[in-house]
Amino acid sequence: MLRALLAGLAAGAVLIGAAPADQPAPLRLCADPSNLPFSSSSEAAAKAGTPGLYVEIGQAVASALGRPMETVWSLSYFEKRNLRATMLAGRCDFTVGLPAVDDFMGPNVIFSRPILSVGYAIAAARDVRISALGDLDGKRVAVQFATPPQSLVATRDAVTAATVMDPEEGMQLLAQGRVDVAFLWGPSAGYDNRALLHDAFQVTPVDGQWMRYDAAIGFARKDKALRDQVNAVLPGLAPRIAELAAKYALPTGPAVTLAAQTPALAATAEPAHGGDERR
Amino acid sequence: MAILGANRGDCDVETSGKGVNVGTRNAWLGRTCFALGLLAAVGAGAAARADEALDKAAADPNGWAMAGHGYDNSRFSPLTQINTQNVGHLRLAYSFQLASLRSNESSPIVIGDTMYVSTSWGPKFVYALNAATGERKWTYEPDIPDDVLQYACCDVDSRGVTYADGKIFVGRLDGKLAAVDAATGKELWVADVVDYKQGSVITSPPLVVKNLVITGFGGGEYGARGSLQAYDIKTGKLVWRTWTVPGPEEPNNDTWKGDSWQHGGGVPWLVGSYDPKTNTVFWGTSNPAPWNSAVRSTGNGDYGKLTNLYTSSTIAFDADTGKIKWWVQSTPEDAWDYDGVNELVLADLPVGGATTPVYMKADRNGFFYVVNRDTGKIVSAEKYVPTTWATHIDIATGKPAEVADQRPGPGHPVKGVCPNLIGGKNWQPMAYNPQTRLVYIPSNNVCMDWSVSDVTYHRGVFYLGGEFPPHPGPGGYLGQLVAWDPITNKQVWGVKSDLPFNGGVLTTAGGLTFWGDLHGFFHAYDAKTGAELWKMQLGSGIGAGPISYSVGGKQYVAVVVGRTVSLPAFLGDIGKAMVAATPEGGALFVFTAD
Repeated sequence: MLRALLAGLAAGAVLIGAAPADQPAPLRLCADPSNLPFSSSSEAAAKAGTPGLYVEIGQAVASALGRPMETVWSLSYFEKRNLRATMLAGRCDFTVGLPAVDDFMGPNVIFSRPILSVGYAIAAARDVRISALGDLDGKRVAVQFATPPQSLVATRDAVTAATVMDPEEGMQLLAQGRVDVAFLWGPSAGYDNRALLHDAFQVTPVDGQWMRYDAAIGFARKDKALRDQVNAVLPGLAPRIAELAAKYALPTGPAVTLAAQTPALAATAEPAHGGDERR
Repeated sequence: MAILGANRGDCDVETSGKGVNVGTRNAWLGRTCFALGLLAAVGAGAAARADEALDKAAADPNGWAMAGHGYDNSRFSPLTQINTQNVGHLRLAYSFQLASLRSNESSPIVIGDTMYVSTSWGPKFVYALNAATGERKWTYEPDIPDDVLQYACCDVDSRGVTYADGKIFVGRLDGKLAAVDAATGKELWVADVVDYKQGSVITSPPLVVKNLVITGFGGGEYGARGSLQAYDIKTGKLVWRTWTVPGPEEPNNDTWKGDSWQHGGGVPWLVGSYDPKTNTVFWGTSNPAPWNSAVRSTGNGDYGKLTNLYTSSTIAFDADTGKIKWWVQSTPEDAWDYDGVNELVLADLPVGGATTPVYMKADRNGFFYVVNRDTGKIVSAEKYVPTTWATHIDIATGKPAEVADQRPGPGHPVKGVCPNLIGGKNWQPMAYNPQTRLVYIPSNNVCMDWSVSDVTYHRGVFYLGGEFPPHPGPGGYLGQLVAWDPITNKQVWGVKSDLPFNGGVLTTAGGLTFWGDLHGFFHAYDAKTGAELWKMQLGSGIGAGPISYSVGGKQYVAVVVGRTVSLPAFLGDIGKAMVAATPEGGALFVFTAD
């Protein structure tokens, strides 16, 4: 009898473990395993309590919806290709930090309301004043390959560009005194300045054509209900998101507007090979 | 004065130091002899020894020794057993499943009675088969990382392998070059060519010349700086590397603005050719990067000396040392993504009353180049597809006469520019038949608009994408197999297709031209007239070039099928039609006639 009871309890336990009614299904975040400040799957990042801004925003969203979160890791070298193979293939449910514009993989990808304003930033020593594009003249400026700052700087013959392949390389050039200014993706520059360079530099947000964007949370088109649920909790999460932005050292404060004399000259483009596939 | 220095000058004089290359400033054509990043001189003894096994294979009329048949990339088989009379009775000898779907672009090679064929995805497999029966002899399964697709811009393709010295050489998507034992498939050495995580992958077979295995790599759009690299055939050690974008200590670095040369593209990612008579290796280079030409030049076509050498060019290298002998740049300060990588087909043509050693190139920019391969002097450069961006090429200087408002640039969108970015011809190989004296070109007829598009995304960083909606070219067709007379520069016949990006070509002394299309049909035509003599549905779109060979006294024709996936994603509704035309596939079909 006792044995039967125990067996029954064990069976019940198994059933309870699988019962979705008592344990809501996890919300699955799509994230890059090696892309701080946005996301990292590394043990070191977990130990340091910095799994990444987008991971922590994801956790806040899941928690507000009363659901546990799982992370599905995949490289985002070609983000559109990656999202097709992950989120649009049903392997994960939501991606934090996508450009909040319908043309970015719309209509297959749908978006929450914007959660952050992100953009490029100027990192320089605290006594260097950059308030207009002309202030870069005569300076050595680190810019990332194929980004709008590279194109903008190319309009000034008096600027010596130092082209880098990722923001961290640009911040290292700045730290080594090999450039005077680093004109890079703001969240990366801010984070590297704090995490690697002990806030040695001032990081100022930049405004102007192609320089600032709204970031949102993206979902597959079929998950409109989930998107609406997330939209409903986002206003309440604003303070938490602001706290996280500060934790990861997103550049804040008044933005400096850097623009070419002819605005259209700032336009740049990369061919859509792989990274920009459209279907 | 662009021609200055193009066809004169002693190499020894021109190697004397910086500034000696003045004569080639503003040169779209040029001739110098200088070493770019020469790592080690080749021992004279080693360099003098030809690879006998490869020479023997290449001289065998029954074989198909290299991806393009021979060093000339002619894709011409001298075999006649299958001919215009009996091709209608072509029947399947065998088929072989490649066990790897999508983007199978391999030209098999046949050495003796063994066929070697690679698959997509790395390659996932290289197979050695009994070329008469399809019976498998061995399988090589390289250790390819799972994440290569993340870094391969334009699909997970392999265009074949290379034989020499009892080995099979395999360029891989993980940026490595491997040598395996041709008898057993055992891996002998693996050389690191390039870091695939920078977006550089190897998709094409290397070229073996004497004791050197020569390869390039892809990734021009993603910040790579191009180079051609030669490895010792026995050990896999790097022997020379020649940068195809010159650094500050090299001539023509001043064709780049600022530090843009460091990530200038110009990668030689397709196949090379070789002329033993002059010991010259020929290779085409990709477009420059980034696409905003204002970063690397003037951005407006008034490029002056900022031509971005040696991108979108054909380069002649000394085979032993990698020294650049001369170059022909087809698209200076490219802004259209007109790669110059298309293969160089070597032939001796009667032009101007004399037999002239030439290379022929159906450039992506829409012009068909015939160039004296001993001197780098352009013989002719005429439009072979509808082409709007330039009216003509000045054959004395090589400079294109650009059409106003057809050059996209910063703040300057364009409409209706032809060809579009896949080019008048893409990687799919053409064939030259010395008997008909015709070149069979798998051409595209697609045009595009070009503008800056909305934001896109790379590892958390937002930037701007280019948008280039394609349109069908004039005439209401999208692709055409063009039989082209390279002497009169006229189309002799053509077969039109409602899809672009069709397969490579084979031509034979049996008076035949074989061509596969994206609908999965494999066709045989009368090489003289274009009359279709046979066709068969093979189940998936065809990109690869067919081959022909003979074993045991019987001639065979072989082709790999399995359509592309990534490329159509660049082409909007046209791309959707390309994908919808057939299922993905991955198979080898081998035909014979009784």
